[in-house]
Amino acid sequence: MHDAQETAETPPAEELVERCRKGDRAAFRELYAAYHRKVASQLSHVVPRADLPDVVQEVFVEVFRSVQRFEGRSAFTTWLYRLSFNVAMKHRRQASRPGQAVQAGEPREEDEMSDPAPDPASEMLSRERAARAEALLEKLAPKKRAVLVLHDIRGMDAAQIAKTLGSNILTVRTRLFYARREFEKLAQEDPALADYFKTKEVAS
Amino acid sequence: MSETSRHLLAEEIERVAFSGAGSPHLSSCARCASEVAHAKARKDLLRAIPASELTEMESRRIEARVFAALDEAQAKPSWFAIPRLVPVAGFALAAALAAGLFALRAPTITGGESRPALVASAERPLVQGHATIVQGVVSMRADAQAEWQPLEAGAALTEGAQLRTTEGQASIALGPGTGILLEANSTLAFASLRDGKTHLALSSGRVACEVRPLTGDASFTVSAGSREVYVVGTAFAVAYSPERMLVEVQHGVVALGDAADPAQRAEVRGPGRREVIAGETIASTPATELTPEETLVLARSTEWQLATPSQKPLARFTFADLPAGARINIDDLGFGPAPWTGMLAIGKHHIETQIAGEPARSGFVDVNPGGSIARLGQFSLSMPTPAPVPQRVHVEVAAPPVDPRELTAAIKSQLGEVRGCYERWLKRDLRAAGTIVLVLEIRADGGVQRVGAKGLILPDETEDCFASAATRLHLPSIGDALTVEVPLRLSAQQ
Repeated sequence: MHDAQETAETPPAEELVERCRKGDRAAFRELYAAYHRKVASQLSHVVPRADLPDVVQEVFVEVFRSVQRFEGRSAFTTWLYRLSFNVAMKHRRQASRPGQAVQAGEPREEDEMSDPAPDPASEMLSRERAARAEALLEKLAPKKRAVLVLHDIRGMDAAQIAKTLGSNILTVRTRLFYARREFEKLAQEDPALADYFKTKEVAS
Repeated sequence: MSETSRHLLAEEIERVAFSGAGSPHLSSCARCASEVAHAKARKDLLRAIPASELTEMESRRIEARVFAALDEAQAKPSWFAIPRLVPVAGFALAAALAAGLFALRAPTITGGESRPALVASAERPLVQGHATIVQGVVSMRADAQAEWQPLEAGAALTEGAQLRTTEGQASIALGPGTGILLEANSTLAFASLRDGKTHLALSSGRVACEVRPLTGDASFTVSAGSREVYVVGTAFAVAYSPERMLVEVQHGVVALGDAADPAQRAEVRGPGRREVIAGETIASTPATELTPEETLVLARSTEWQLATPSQKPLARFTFADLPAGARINIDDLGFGPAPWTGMLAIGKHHIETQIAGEPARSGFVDVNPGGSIARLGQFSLSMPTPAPVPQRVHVEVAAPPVDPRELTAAIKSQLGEVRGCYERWLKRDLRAAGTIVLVLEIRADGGVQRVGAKGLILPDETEDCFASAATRLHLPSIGDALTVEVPLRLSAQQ
């Protein structure tokens, strides 16, 4: 299934939303087809890969339940992504409650174990570092992780992040500061990443 | 102090690192140069993490689950997508809050009566499973004392029922987005089929499960011997024999426990497996990753559950004269060789059959419950009887155990903290408004044991604030546990 948002056949979001509000089931399907991959992309790195399908599912159940309340005062995607992050944060909180089977993951074994392609050594090293970095991201608290991902990976500024997460700029900046500090501390304790930072500093 | 003589502020370091622009100060300050390099390294490292994308299979699976939930919501809107609290006895209590003043209005009445409607379940409703696909020889019995009978597609399976497969397999739907495939040479009992509490006991063989994410105190457990697999929402398979237990997880996470030794607990994260050999402890066995091929095989075990939504009208049908062993694909999904009977949503389906050594035959068939025969090339599809539709058991409570007006008054008198939560939200977002329904699980002594919410999506801080405030409500002693829904309308005064 391809993301249909870019195709000429897909009606504009406003039209789809209006049809959804009238209970048009076909419109729900078109909306899902057009946006589910974009939602997954937005939530990439914010929730663990293993949880991504469940969170995307929860997002669209919530979209279909809440679409009546979308008043069009913001772009549909702004509303959708904000809802997506709210659902993701809620999912992470539920997953980390004591007694639940889903736990914030321990660092996973390196991805290259399942992809033993004969890449050059440096490429292997980069992939290992990326896998370690991803594992460390999962160790951060959900809200810190979200701001770090949105700022450092997605390149959003604090104001945009505040709008997306329904927070304020000061809170975003504070969380970003602590998220970076925590991530770097974890990285320096990780044998595969501590040297990486030292090398980069020397190279500069 | 000049711009170039002081150290860069944290924000300036990040800006230089992210923009790639230089700064005159860096050439003369090793400390700032080092910090900029550090920030660049962190940014490069984070941006090297590959983005996660959904696979085609995952997209289809999510779509099926979302629309199954939509079906369920349309069937019973009042309980859609809220945390499942223990419905010892529940009623809807309507309250409205005018923001700014937060006045609690008279209860909103269903059907125009002067009191809130009260509909409750005396106990957890029973869930009825039903066979969606039966391939080969499969038997069932209503309980351990009953005689084994051949299982047919459409047959209902209730709590206590047992299934046994020899040369065949059976697909059982257990509600929207949830179902199992019992594979050949397996025996399984439905130990519990209460709503939100599913417990399957596998005596031997292999069962593949697809479980919609659970909420609240809902659970889905597969036991095999003394070992148990606990699920939150995932696709997985359990194989069991006296010699070993094998758990394979396609996506999500499951937890393994041992009833004989509660200290033994481990988890398996998809795509992965954990095999426990007789005599070994759970914790001593390492989890290993499934290969992409193994993951695909596991996925195909459960994808039929998604092709047969339980809320749609279904029709039972069989291939009347397809030779045993012929492969069957319906709507691009394969399910074992003939003979078999199945349940399909009423309507058009693309069906493909293939006998070994012959070209495949395919076409669209209009499946309906009218007992008609459809032709597909030289083969016919028989659709003999309408399918039973799973029913929920509800018990109407004739008289409320407590006067809702008394509860309404008690809640109204304690809304100050909730009002504060909303006022803080309004300060951050002037457009904050809408209706949220608090679901309060109230103890017999009037204390609030648990709080759920549905409706409005709130910012985290506001949601936490509402939950915290609601937990501190103290209501009149009611003599029995209750679940109460309290709609709060939040709107700002001009």
